[in-house]
Amino acid sequence: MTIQFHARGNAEIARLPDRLVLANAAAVRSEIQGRIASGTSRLVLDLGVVEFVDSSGLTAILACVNAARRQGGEVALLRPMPRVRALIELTRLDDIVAITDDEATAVACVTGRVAA
Amino acid sequence: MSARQELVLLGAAPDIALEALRWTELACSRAGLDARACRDLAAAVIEAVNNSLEHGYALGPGDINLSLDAEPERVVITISDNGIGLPPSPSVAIPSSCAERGRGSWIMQQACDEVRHEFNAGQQSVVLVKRRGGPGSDYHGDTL
Repeated sequence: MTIQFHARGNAEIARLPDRLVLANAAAVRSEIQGRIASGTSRLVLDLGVVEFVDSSGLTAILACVNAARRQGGEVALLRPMPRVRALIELTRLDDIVAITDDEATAVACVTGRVAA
Repeated sequence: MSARQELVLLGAAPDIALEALRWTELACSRAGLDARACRDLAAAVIEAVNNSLEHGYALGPGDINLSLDAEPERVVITISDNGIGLPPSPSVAIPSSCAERGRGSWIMQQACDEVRHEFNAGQQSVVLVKRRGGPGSDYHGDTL
C-alpha cells in the first residue's frame, strides 16, 4: 500500500485508494499514522477516487483524525463521492471532521485559517 | 414463491468482502430492486461479511454462504458462517462520533428494514430484509 502525499502550503494532501475496506483499511491507517508520527499532522484526506468505504474504512479515518490531533494537528476530508459522504454522515463522522469539495478550503481547515 | 440466488465465498480472506459487494449489487438488480436499494443492501452485506471474517473466523479460514430470496413484497439476504459467532447487540444505538467500533451494526440497521440474527446447528446467520418500494431507512440523506 502506497499512498501519494503532496504538500499544499503547511499541509499535506493524501490521496486515498479507490476502496477503503477491511482488506486494506489497516494498511492505509498504518501508512497515514506513520506519516503523522514523522511530523505531518495537518492532513487533507482526498477521497475523490474512493468509490466505497465500509465501517473498517471509517474507523481508519477516525484513527487518523485522532492521531493528528494528538500531535496538535488536524484532518479534513476532501471530495467524498455521494455514496461515501452518505455513510460518513450516517455514522456522524461529519460531526468531528470537516468535509469540503474545495481543496483550498480543506487546506485552510487543517491549517486553522477557516472553519468549515 | 421466491427466486433464489446463492454465492459461497471460499477461504474467508479479507478481500472476499469485495466479492460479496459485487455479488449483492448484481443479485439485487436481478431481483428487481432499484439502484438505491441495491447499494443499501450491498453496504449492509459487506458489514455482515466483515463480521463473519473478523469475529466468526478471526480472519482465519472458513466459508461464508450468501443467499438472496426475491419475494413479491421484499428481498431477503442471508449471510451464514460456521465460525464462533458474535453475540448480537441487544440494541443498536447510533455510535458516538469518536467511537472506533460499532458502526457496522448501525449501518446494517439503517440500510435494511429488518436485521435478524439466527443460530442453528452451529451455523450463525444474519438475515437482512428489504421491502420493495418502501422507504427502507430512516435516513433521508443521500443513498448509501
